[in-house]
Amino acid sequence: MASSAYSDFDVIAQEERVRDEIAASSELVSDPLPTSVLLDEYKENKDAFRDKLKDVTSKYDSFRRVRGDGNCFYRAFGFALLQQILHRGTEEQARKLYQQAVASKALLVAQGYTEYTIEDFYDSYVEVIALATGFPKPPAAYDYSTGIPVPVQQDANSEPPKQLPWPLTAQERALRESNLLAIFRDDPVASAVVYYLRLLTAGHFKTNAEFFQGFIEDGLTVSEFCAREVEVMARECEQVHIVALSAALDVPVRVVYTDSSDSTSQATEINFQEEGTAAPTVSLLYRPGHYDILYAR
Amino acid sequence: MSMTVQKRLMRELAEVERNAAAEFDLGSSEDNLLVWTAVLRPPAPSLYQGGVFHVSIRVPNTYPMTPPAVKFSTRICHPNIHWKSGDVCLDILKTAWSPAWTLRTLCLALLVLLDNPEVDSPLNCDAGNLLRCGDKRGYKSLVTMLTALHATPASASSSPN
Repeated sequence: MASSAYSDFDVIAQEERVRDEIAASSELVSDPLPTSVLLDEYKENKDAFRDKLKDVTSKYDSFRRVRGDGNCFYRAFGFALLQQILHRGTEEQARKLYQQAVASKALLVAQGYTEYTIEDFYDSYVEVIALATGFPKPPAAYDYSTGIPVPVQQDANSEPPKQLPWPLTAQERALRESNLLAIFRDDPVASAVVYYLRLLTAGHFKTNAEFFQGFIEDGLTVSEFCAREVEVMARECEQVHIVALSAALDVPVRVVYTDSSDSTSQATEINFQEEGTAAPTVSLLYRPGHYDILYAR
Repeated sequence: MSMTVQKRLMRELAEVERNAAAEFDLGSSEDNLLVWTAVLRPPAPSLYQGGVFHVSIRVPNTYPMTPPAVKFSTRICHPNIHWKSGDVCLDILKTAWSPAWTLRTLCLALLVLLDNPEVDSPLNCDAGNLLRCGDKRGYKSLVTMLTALHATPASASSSPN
């Protein structure tokens, strides 16, 4: 039973202080670090976990830490995806990612989401996609000063007006990457992008409810599962979420699993959506309960 | 106030004005967009029908990523609402909040909560205990009486704090 000495208003103020402290002590997305840092971090461990990390360092030379706030998978996926597009993507992949981003809001609305409640998250997502791919951001569908919808011509299948100078020059890549990193480190936009990735995940679950129902436990419907485990910030993800998001965006994801089970001294790699065409493979490191971004040697 | 919160709340306000609900009024304070008031009028067959309940809503700067804080300013007898402070125990106001919800969704959730109390997380033990030991009749008459006493237009206004 809650004590009446503290009201919800006090609790919220306290939670904001805690959040600020965490924010001050770790970046949402770190600078790249050599994977050898991980070996130092676990040098006391003599078990299979450390062997697996050694295996990781032999194949991947660097990684980025992502804040462990329950959103790490979505955040790691989002940043790594756009970085892959910048560095290894083709013009065709960039266009596909952009077009599906622009078309995605209508699909979510068709799934029953209220447009004005997802609009801000959509705007932020399209903004980072536009930044990475170089396609122009479509105009906002709302007049923000009045909150009144304004008619906007949005045709996802129409050719984006600006032709890209693709492949990008090294200088352009570096510029866009540093802008992306700034956005992924800057709340509330960073959280909005993360939340939109959650919505895209939930949308894919709902569109393919029949398929996913078999993976959902506790007698929940797909909608109930989404409301409880996907559409809520800071709710951690499981493999089925990765299946859904990589399929939703048609992006191949490789997760390198490390844990202390000693059946093998090698890290297990699982590829989700191997045939993905919208981007080069996104590689993530999994340590129990947490995802970071990995870069192959 | 951040631009994100402001944009979002402006749209919620426009939506509320365009699309009024019979069971509640909802609006923001004239001088502060982060302070809202809801007036709930639970419809029949609610136990609370006839009552008019004022609810104060404070929106954090991190909204809609984090939930608003809610307090009943009209006294209400309910297992999950504190009799004196008006605090509410409801999962969507804590860990289960979804950023795709709105203050309007919240009002609907509060109306649902009124007639679907969760007796395992009581803020009002007396009300909770009546239900827990199966005394529905006693619970119903207590709620009806206290609603008439504290939450009807005829009753002397009595508010917590």
